[in-house]
This record gives sequence, C-alpha cells and structure tokens, in this order.
Amino acid sequence: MNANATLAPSLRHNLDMLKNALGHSTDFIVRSFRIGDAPAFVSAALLYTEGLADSKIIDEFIMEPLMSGICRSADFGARLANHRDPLALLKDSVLTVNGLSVVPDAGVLLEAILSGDTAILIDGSDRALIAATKGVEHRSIAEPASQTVIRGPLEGFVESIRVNTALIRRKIKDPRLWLETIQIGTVTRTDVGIMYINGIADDSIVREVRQRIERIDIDGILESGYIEELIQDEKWSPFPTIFNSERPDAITAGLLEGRVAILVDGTPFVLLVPALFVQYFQSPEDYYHRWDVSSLIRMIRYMGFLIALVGPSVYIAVTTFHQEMIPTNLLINLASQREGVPFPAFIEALLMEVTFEILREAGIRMPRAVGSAISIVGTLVIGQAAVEAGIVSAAMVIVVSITAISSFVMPSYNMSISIRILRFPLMGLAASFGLFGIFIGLILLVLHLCSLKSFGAPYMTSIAPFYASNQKDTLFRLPRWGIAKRPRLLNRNNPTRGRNPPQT
Amino acid sequence: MRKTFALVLLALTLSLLLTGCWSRKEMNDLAIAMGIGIDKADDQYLLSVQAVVPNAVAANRGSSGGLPVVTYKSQGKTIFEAMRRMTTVSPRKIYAAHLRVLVLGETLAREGIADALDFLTRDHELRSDYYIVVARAASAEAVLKRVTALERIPANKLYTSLQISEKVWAPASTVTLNKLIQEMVTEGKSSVISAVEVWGDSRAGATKNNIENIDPPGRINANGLAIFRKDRLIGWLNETESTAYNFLVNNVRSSVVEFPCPKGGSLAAEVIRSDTRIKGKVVDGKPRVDIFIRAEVNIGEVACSIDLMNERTIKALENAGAEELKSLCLQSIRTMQRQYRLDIYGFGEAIHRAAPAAWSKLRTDWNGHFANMDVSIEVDYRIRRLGTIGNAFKDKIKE
Amino acid sequence: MITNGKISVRQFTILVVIFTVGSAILYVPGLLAEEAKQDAWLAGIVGTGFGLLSAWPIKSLAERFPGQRLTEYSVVLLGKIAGPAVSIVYFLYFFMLSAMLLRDVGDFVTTQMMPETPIQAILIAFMFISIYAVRLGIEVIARAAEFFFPILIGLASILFILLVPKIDFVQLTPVLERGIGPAFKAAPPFIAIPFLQLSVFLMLFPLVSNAKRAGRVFMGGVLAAGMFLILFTTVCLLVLGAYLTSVESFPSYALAKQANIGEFIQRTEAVMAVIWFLSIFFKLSLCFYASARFYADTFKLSEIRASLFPMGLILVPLSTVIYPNAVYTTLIVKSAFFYFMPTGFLIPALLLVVARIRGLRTRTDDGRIA
Repeated sequence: MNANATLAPSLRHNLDMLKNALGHSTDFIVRSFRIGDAPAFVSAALLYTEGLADSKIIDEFIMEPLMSGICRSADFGARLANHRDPLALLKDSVLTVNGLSVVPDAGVLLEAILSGDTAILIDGSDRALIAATKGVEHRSIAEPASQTVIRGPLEGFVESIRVNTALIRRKIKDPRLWLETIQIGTVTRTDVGIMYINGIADDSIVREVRQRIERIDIDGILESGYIEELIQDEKWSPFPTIFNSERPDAITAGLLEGRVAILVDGTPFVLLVPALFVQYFQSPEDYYHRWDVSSLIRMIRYMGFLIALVGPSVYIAVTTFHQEMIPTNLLINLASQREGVPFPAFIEALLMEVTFEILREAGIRMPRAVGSAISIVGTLVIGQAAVEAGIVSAAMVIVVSITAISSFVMPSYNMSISIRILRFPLMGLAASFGLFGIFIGLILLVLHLCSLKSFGAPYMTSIAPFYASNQKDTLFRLPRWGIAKRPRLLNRNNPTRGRNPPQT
Repeated sequence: MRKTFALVLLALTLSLLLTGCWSRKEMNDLAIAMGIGIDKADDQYLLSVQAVVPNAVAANRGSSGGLPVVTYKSQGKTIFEAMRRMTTVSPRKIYAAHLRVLVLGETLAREGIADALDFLTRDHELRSDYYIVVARAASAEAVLKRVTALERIPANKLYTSLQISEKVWAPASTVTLNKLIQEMVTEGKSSVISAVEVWGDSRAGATKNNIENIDPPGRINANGLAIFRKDRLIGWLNETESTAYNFLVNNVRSSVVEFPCPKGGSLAAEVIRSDTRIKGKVVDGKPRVDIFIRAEVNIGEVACSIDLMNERTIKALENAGAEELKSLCLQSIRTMQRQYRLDIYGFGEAIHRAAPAAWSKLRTDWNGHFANMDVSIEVDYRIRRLGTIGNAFKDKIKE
Repeated sequence: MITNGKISVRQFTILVVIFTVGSAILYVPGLLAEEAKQDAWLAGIVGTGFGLLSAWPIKSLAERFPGQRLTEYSVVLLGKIAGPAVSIVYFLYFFMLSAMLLRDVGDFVTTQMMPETPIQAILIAFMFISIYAVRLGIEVIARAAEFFFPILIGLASILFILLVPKIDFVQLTPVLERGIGPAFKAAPPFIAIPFLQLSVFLMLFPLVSNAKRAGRVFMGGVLAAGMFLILFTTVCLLVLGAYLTSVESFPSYALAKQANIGEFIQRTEAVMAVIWFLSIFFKLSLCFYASARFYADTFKLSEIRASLFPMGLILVPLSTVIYPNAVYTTLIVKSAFFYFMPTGFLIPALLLVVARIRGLRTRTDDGRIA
C-alpha cells in the first residue's frame, strides 16, 4: 500500500488493502457486521487494534448503538444505503461515542487505528469514520522508584503521556500552562510534548527547545534519553545538561521557575531545561521540610559530592606523596596496615573501586531474589577477606566505602554517574602528580563546567556567573518568605514569585 | 571538539603511563624517623636515627611483639652524606617529615651546632615543628637508644614529656628549629636549648627488658637548660635557674611555686597565669631593664601552720612569695652576668626595640654591657583561690 | 545574555585582584623583608602606593579608548610602524612573563612538594590547563575565577585564623629603626611584581560589559590586592619574624607550616599551595591570553585559538631555560623593576601623553561598548 492511498467505495477492497498493509497482524481486529436488516442492510466493519483500543467503549458506545434499536430495522438499512452521506448520518444520529471524525485517507486511518482509535467502514463509502477509543492499559500511578522522598507527594509519572500531562495540569490550573505536541520518530511516531508556562518561561528558550526537537531525524524514540542526547548542548561532557525527573512535583516546580518540560510518551522520565549544575543537588523535598534542615542537608550533599569525587584520589595523593600531611600517629597506624600489601596504593584503590562498580552494576541488573547473595559476597569478599588476606589495607576499604556511600546522596542519578566516571581520571592524576595532579584535574573540571551551557544558560549560573539573589536557593535554602524571586536563568519578564512577609 | 577531547584523553593516558614513580613513596616503603641524633667524632658527623616499626606500634591486630623502634647509625663529613649513607644500613628510605625530636650530642654542642642545623633547614622534607634537645653528659645516640614504656616510641616520649612539662612545670622549656634560629640571629639574645639526661644502665636500657620492669633501669628525662654562646654550648642551667629563665622570658603557663610561711615551713601554690614585661631603656648611655612579673596563683598544698582565712595573711604571703621569686630571678641573672657574661634573657633585644639609636652603640659589646647592667624586678603575686578546703586540718588534729 | 564574550564588572574585579595577588603572594614577603626587615609592611604600603600610581596610565588609557585594545589605538597614536612595534614588544613581554610564571610553578613544586619529579612534567601539565583555559575563552576564565574566588577568600581566612595564636607583635619592633629609607629601597621589586605587570589589562578592558565602571573597579581591585599582600607580609613578619621571612625561599609556604591548633589542625601548607596555585594559574592564563592576543592582532590573525598550542609548546622549553638556577631567579626578580618599567609604565604613559597632545579619544556618547 502506498502512503497516500485512498479508500475505495468497496468495503471488501478496503479491508483487503488494510489487512495487507498490516501484514495480517493478529492484533488487528476486523469485526464485520450489518447495519439494518434483511432485505435492506449495509455491510460495515469495525477496525481496531486489540489492547490499544478500549473495548468497553467499543462495546457500549459503538457496537451497541449500531446493532440495536433503530439500526436493527430494515427501514434504517434502506435509509442508510440511500443516504447521500451515510457516515454523517451515523455520526449525527446513531453513534454515542465521543471524538468522531471522517477521514478519506488510508494512511491516516491506519495511524489512527495503531494509536488505539477505532475505524468504522461501511460498504459504499470511500471514507471512514474514526472514533476516539484510545484506552491503552497503563501502569497505575505509583511512587517513583528513582527519586524517593520522606515527605512530599508519592505519585510518579507513568508511561502514558496523557496521564503525565494530566498529573502536571492537576497541579497547575492556570490557562497559561501550555502544551505543544510533536510526533518524533519516523517509525515509532512517538508523541513528544513541550510544556511551559507562557509568560514565565522565556520565549527564546521555548523557541530553542521547539527548534531542536523539530530538527530531530530518527526512526524511533523509546525513552526521553533519546531526546536528551539529541538536543543537549555539549556532546563531549560527562555532565548532564538536561535535568530529568519522574516526579510531577519536581517538574511542576521547574515549570514555575520558568523552565520548559519535555514529556515523551512511553517513559515516566520527563526532561526539564535549562538545567543548572546546582539543580542536581536540590531535591524536591528541600522545599517541603523546614528551611534550616533543608539547608543543612544540602550542605551534606555538596560534601558528599566532593568526597565522592576526590575521596580516593586524595587518599592516594596523601599516602603516597604527602605523608607529611598525615598526623604522625595516624601515619604509623596506616603504615602498619599497609605492611605486606603487595600493590601500590593506586592499584589497590583501582582494584577496590572497580570491584565496587561491578558489585553496584550487578546489584541493579540481577533478579531481586539473588540480591542478598550478592551483598553477602560483596561484604564478605571485599570487606573482610581481602583485608585479612593482606591484599588491600583496611583503610582503603573504608575510603572506598565512604566514597561509595557519598555518591548515593546525590538526589539525581545521572549526576552521580558523572562523578563515578570522573573519579577514575582524578585517581590517575593523583597517582602521578599527587595533590598537584588533583589540583590540575579540578581546574580542568571547573573550566569545563564553566564553559558548559544548557539552552543558553551558563551551567554554573548563580555561582559563576554569580547572582546574589540566587544564593538564597543555591547552597542554602532560605525560608520561603526569603525566596520571593524566581532564579535568574536568562532575561526574564516575570521574576516575582509572591510576597510573603514573615509572620511576626 | 572531538579532536580536543581525543587529545585530552590521550594526554591524560600518556601522562599516567609516563609517571607513577618519580616522587611516589608508598607508606610501607618508608622508615618513619621519629628521632634524629647528631654527634661529632673527629671530623665526622655521627648520625643516629630512631625509626618506627609500624607493625609493633599499631594498636590493631596483636602486635608482633618486637620492639616498636629501631635505631640506625651512619657517619659522614656532612649530615646529608650520612643520611644517604644510612640507606646501606636501613632497608627503607628514612622519612624525616614526622621528626619529633632532634638530639644534639654534648660534644657536638660544644663545638658548634650551626653547620649541623643547616641541612635541617634546607631540606624540603623536614618540617620545623620538632623539638631540639641537647644530651647532657651523653651522646645523642645514647639518648635515642632507650626503650620507654607507656609511650612506646621513645622519641615520642621525649616529645610529649617536654610538651606537657612546658605547660605545667616552670623549669621546662621547649625549642623548635625556627625559634632557635630566630634567637640565634636576633641581636641581644643568646639561645638556650632544653637538656636531656640519660639515667641508669645503658645496655639494659636498650633492650626490651627495660620496659618489662615496673621500674625501668634505663630512663631518659628532660632536666634543665643548655646555654649557648653563639652556636656553642657553654654551660647548663639547673632547675631553679631554669625556672627563673622561664619566668623572665615569659614562658610560664602553669607551674608550682613555693611560698615561705611566716612561722616557718612553706606552702606550694599553682601558678595559673603569669605575664612578664621587660622594659628596656638607656639612661646616660647605660642600659637598664625593668622587669614586671605578674602572676596569679592558687594555693595547692599547705605544709605549715597558717591561718589562710585571714585576709592579712594572704597579703603577707603574697609579699613574701614575691620577694622569693624576685630573689630567685635576681640570683640567676647575677650568675649569668658574673659567670657566663651572656644575655640569655633577651634584655639586649628589649633595649634594641625600645631605644634603637642607643642600641647601635651598645651592640658591638653587648654581653659586656649586659654583665654590668642594672636590673630591677617587680613581682606582683595574686592569690586567687585556696583549693577545695579552707585552713589545713593539721592544726585541728587532736592528741 | 551573558554569552557574547563579555565579562561582567564583578568578574573583571575578581580577575584584577587574583592577577595582582598572583605569583606575588609567594615572593613579596621575602623580597620586602630582605631589605626592610621588620618594616617590610611599611615597604608594602610604599610599594602599593607607587603601584597604584603606575596603574593610573593603564586605567586612563582604557577610559580614553573604551572598547578598543591597545593594538588598535597604538596604531592610531603612533602610526603604522611604531604602533605594531609596541604591540610586538608587548607580545614578547607577556610571552616571557608567561614563561617566568610557568617556571615559578615548576620551581615551587620541585622544591617544596616533589623534588624527584622532572620539572618538565609539571610544566607540561600546568601549561596544558592554561592552554585549555585560554581556548575556552576569557569569558570561561572569568567565570572560573568567579567560582574560585570565594574559595580563595575562605582558604586565606582559615589560614589567618589558624595563625592567630602564633602572632607575636614584638616581631614588628623596633619600627623604623633605620628610618624610612629601607622601606623605599625594598619597594621596587614589589612594584615590579605585580604592579608593573598590570598592562595585561589593556587587552581585557574592552571585554568588560560596563566600560564606564571598569576603570574604577580596576583601581579598586589593585588596591584591594595590594592591601591583601601587605596583610600577608605583616602576618609573615608577625609569625615568622623578619629573619626567617627573608631567608625562606617561599615565606608564605613556611608561614602555613606554622599553623598548629591543639596538635590536631596542623600541617596546613596544602592550603597555601592551593591558594597560590589558583592565583598563579589565573595570572598565567591572563598573560598567555594577552600574549596570544597581541600576537594575533599584530599579525592580523582572525582568532587566537590556532596559535595557542604552538605557543604553549614553545613556552615549556623556554621556561626551563629562562633561569639557569635559583640564584638567577632572585637576581631577576630583584631587578625586575627596571626590566618591567618600560612595558608596565613608560609605554602606557607615553601613549597617554600622545593621546592627550593629539586630543584623541574614542567617542562613546551613550557609554556603549564598541
């Protein structure tokens, strides 16, 4: 079937053509029936994809009216057969289902059927009636697994873009919340939604997002990661420049700050741009707890970030290059632990880090049931046996563990992956140049971070370039009456969040 | 951009392959030196190093039972040479950054220590936070060859006992390299270094048996101060002279002082705060210093009959104590003036700071002027507290 | 948007401060104390005073020709031959300066931290990050400076606080023992490093987004950095004493070694090393940028990126041969006043005089940046 084939007046011909186009796929259901009764009846067919269309709607609002009541009479059959526009007749006076349209084109018809709509073809008409019966089964709304909170909404996005947009709209009831949908993917034709609050989000960013998404030329989009990789600013960077979350409250907060959300059908992970470095250290929960607690926890996250990044490398540098920096008693203690360890500290650290990364990966991939087995092997083999066998020193195990734990405090998984990667080159630098090497590495890192941009906004915004007003919600979180302004991303037209003088 | 990225990666990887062993030293390749001793015999420096055996010191995993330290010896025309020659004796590189104590042998000290100290200031590895001591009537080696209990590393034992006694015991004083050099180059002040004595059987003291006795036969203890003219040792200060010295250079943080009781006997008091001001001036071309010592004390022990609950007694005690301290100080100063003609108290420095113009005339023969200068001391004692009881119960004891 | 290669006034101020503190922080206390002894802090004040004077022509030039680089108006002022000649002189000056700064890093690391490591490895590593920084552009350097500045301030404050217990005010007496003379004699090397190197900013002024305030904050930044250096010198004197300050190769590093609070917080010299590495990194990057910029402008290259790598490749061996030994280094540093005088003061002053006489200035009616 060529792409813009049109329908013929013959029902049999149409059905054959459509069945061939779908390769007689078994989930493509054709239900033939008659409207009217002998002698005057019209052959008709109902076409839908099983599983995508809601069978309840089809039964109650399409089949029921078509096969009962006046439709069972020969009079009606005759009237339909002789009607100038039989589809219009059905649409106007028989079918009770919502969202009906008439299409003449077989391509559009197929697309509709494959998105879950139901087509009604009748003999003698070269057009089809499409009824909106999308009713795909989706996972029920559950607590997001990747970003958990103690206090805060427990709902998470699901794989259906409709449900997801609804989850956001439920939080923002302002007409200025706008949604644009584009279909991306020549084969998958995935719905991609761009959501923003008109008047808060910067027009230039919205335009930029739209342009970049429209520029995508790919056969399929299976997850928002595809989009992220195709529209991000800097390809050669270990750092994520597009934020993602499966929490509606996080995305909503982003929209309120003037960011643009990109929703992709088929994944619960929604993208948010522009993303800033500090954003990866902010959990939605920060805003639900008291401000002082949140500020403290944020400091802990930054500390965790630092430890996870440079922990092992500082240990290597200090113990192999700068022993003078260790307090004497500690040095003697560490040295006695290292007695008999056959590897240089660098190799030792590398061994442990790699082992840990393998364990972590195994922990994610393996079936839940064997989880405890892995953790026993992990703790016993790495933790104890290796130390007792004298292969690694106990201090190294401590350092690696602290590093590992620290990398988990990051609220955002993709930032903690970046740190995991960056740890290794830093360890190498530490092993060759000591603290000087770490210094070189960190300078390179900061230069790189400062050169990054996310949709026009410098990645390090609010630290460098420094905005005093953004500091209220960067390293610390000030009380809500202190944060009256939205963070400054780019030029912005609507900076005020609200005025809440503190209660006196 | 892709090219740059590849370049960065390449450079990083290459640098890792190239390097890795230039300055790297694993902790278990180091002999951590805690004490260094320098002696001189003929033209040669004798260097002894007390290095830690980590396994025997560390608290974890039941120590091997060996001695916690080992002493290596070597000699050379320069200290540097001797240090490097030591690698022929020691299986590991001597790592001196954690040095706690530098012991100078008496013979070396009498010949002059400036040359020996140069290496220690020049080498990047050495820090300047260790204490310098002079071995009294012993070689430095002998000091480092004493095994000690409680603090398992002997050098550390010396370090901590010097540190603690300086805080609570007026005769004790510590000297670090920076302080020593600063004193040596400062006009109008000669330097002193704490002295260390070795007691008992030297052979038994060097074995593990020494710490298996409840009363170890061999001991090291800090005692008194060594005084230097330029960089040469010329004499020793005994305990009372050391006390006077520390009061005069304002180096008393806490100590015990004795007060004579009016009816005989004495009581001891704890100095809790002490401050000394030296005011130098030149009168008619003659130098003169006025010294004000202000000390606050708490009564610590009463060994005489006295009514402490009387305000007047306290006043009297304060005055008597002040006299006592004053005469102690004056006596010491007189010894220095008569016997050594050496200004260790920094009176010259005080005059230098107060009257730079006159100082330019005095500086050439300062020690000569010092020997004849007038010194006035004023002591202001304040008794603050009596401890947890009032009068001693001794007088109330019934027959 | 802040994305068009402009730097904000705040970033500019930070760059001025960091540049001025730059390599000076390691040498200045020693240089001053050697001649002026315990009056080194007075010498510092004298030096900063003269330093501000020598920075004046640079500021006036920049204000007279807003939005233009030295290479542009020197042609207008001095003609087609002398103008580019001046640019070449400046190119060479900053090129040599970069080599000297690079060598400073190498010397420091190999003397104090890792003597067994070949100096070339250190130089290559440090040059590499500088090339990377300049490649990314002044805007990124400025942002990185903005990122590091609070860290620098924090570290310096921590260091000062840790050193408070070691301070002994007697070390400063007798004040003016030999009159004010030594203070003036000690000042020239301090004026040379850093104040006579400030002509670097002749290439940076046009990049400031708010040209009107640039001149003012420039002088403010120089003054702040000068005061910081005076403070540092004073702390060195207070803690180490005049003698040690003058004999130590790196007095500030020796200073940091002194910190010791309760046997627990000690061995803090890494803090000092970080402060110094950071400030010298930015100084080197700015010098390197300036030399590349002068080179590109003089020979009419459209951009500087292409020349960075070759220049860096030359700088590494150049910095190994620029001083034969440590003694020579101090010799050069002490006579730097005379070497740096023409480029640091005389040429800007000359250009200013010519501009005054010929009445030339760039018109900006609205304070707009060209």
